[in-house]
Amino acid sequence: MKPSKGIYLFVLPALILYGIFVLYPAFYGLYVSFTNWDGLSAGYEFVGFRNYRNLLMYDTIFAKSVVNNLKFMLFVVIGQTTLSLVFALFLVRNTKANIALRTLYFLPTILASVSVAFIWAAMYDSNFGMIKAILGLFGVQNGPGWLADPDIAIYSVAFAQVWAHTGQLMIIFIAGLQAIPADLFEVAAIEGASKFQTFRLVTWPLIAPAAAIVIAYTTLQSFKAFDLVFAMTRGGPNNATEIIATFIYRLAFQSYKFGYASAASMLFLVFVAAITIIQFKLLRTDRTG
Amino acid sequence: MFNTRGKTMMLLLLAFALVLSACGGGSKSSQHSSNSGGSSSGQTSSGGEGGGSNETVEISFMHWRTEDKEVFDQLIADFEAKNPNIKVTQTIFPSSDYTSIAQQRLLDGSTGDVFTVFPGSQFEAMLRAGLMEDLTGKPVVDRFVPNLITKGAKDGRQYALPYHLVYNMPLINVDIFEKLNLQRPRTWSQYLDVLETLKQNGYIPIAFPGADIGQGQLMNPMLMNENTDEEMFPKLLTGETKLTDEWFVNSLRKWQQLSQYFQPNSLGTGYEAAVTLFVTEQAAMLGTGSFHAALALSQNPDMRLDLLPPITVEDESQIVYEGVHNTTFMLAINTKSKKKEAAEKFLEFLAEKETAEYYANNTGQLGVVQGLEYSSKSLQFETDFTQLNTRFLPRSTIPDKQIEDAITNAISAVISGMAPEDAAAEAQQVVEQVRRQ
Repeated sequence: MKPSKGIYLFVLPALILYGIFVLYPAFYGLYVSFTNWDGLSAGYEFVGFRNYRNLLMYDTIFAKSVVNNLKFMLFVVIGQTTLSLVFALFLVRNTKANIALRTLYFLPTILASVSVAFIWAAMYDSNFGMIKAILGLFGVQNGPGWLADPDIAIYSVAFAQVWAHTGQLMIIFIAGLQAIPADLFEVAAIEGASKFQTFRLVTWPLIAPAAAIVIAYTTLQSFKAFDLVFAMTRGGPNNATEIIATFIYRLAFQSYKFGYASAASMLFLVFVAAITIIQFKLLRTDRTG
Repeated sequence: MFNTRGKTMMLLLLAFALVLSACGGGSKSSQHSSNSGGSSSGQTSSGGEGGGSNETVEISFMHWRTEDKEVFDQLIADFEAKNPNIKVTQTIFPSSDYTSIAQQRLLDGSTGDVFTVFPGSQFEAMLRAGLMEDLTGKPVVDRFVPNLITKGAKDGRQYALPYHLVYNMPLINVDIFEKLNLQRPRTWSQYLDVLETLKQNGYIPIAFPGADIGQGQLMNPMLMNENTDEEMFPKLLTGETKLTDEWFVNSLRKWQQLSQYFQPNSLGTGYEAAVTLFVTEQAAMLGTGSFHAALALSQNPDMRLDLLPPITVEDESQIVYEGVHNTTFMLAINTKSKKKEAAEKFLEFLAEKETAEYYANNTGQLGVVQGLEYSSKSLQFETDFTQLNTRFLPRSTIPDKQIEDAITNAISAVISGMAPEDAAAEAQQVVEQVRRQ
């Protein structure tokens, strides 16, 4: 029996809310991206593709923020995935000590990003920070400028992101590891496989779906790291930690260039979609091949 | 796929969604066309406009001075005692976020019946949006020092009234200078000699908060004599001046020399840490401005403070300006406010000499209201800058925030080792981008 068409009425409330709060702002943002609206005035002009042309052809800060975002994403994805997997492998068994350690590693996840930012900004402080004090014990008086050196600042911020979220992803890996049947490891042991071979041939293929989730989640998370970056460095020094989200915020809310910022948001959307599609295809290939 | 009934249903749904979208789309224009009737969300009035009615009117005072909350609480209590039918609520956002938050809050008139605005690009943006009531000709304007309120005016009309007078040049610890027998330098060479002496004697010559406000503050005295044209920054938009011109590159070269006298990794130092270096007397100078005197004295009450701008000329005869000043924390009335009469009363109260004096002495901020007498130590510097030729803050004349960021970023780039010429070229690229917008 085919369901009545009236059943579609049940999705109506959700559809309306989705339309109002997601689709309408998105399409309105697209419309604004073709204007020079300042976000305050009643009037604005339609400027066609000028905002997009300027962003793609001339805006050096936008280009820099894209590169910074890629650096940030790579560091976070590699660091967070590797560390969470390593911790999961060590803490997979449900002993009392392991459960206590899992709780400890999970704790940073419950902190707000702004709190994480303040904690690490204080740790990195070049004058009174804990890292400086520890390095001082080893005779290093003037250590690196963690947030002051444009060459390393983005990685310092990315490390704070890794610290905050590794515990959360470790839990996903532990769930994946605990779902692997124990007899597979027994067979591997009987066949004389080394620990590395067991990991490569048994563990990894079976936790690949969990890894795919972790990588996809981490990638999106690293594009949404606005609050952490903004609270730690506000994009400085000299745009060294400017990512696309902070760039857009600055344009819209500090420079009053909503039209231009909306165009940057649309490009951001395309950029994230492209990365997600590429990643999805790569991870699918890994799983089937 | 759908029968006629289903199609009708879908059309109705679509029409409903479109009507809702149209409501959303129209909100912007309706905000600008209507400023009367209805009640605003947030701080709501329980009655009319004060004055004639006995019912209480509640107005919102929006500003960024978190540190002044208690002083304003006291002043508001005094105001409410005099005006029992008006209640004032403070709405405070930190200065770093004020620019981004204020605009949206002001647009619907629910917050900020009286509000503060920064001079320069924020004032211009608020003016373009028609958010500031025209105060021209109102008696309250006459209570302020005329030549210090020009940054709140445009085309002969007064829209905002500055409440703070600030000197944006480094604070110095007078005792350290006297101990080392250092004289006030009058040339760039003498200034570098002073810094070198301080360094040789184990002090950090300048505590520089390069992670937040340092560049935006110290750039002003660094530029005041490099280019004395008041229009040097506005002319960037017309192409009449460039950041690759000698005046700016030369200033960056001096920043390169100056940065050797900052604490290590100064670009990672926030103002709190810089103030700590200064008040603990590890640093002899603090690269911010007079607005930090009260904070410094609250942590080290025995300090004797003065202000010492870098004089960047090589010959004393070339000195045009001996310091920079800014008039900020500009008070304005929101055109979208539905309680303007009460807002005006509060503005008039803030402009009274006794009120402004109490505020200045208890917050450590010099004021712009006429005839103020200062009793607070944090307002009494060794040098009387009101007697010297000071220039209005050059940074406040930068017409675009992206250009302002490009200038401060060029300074950061030089501090982190980039050649001044390259940093200037990078900044000029941003100017060109802005001109294309």
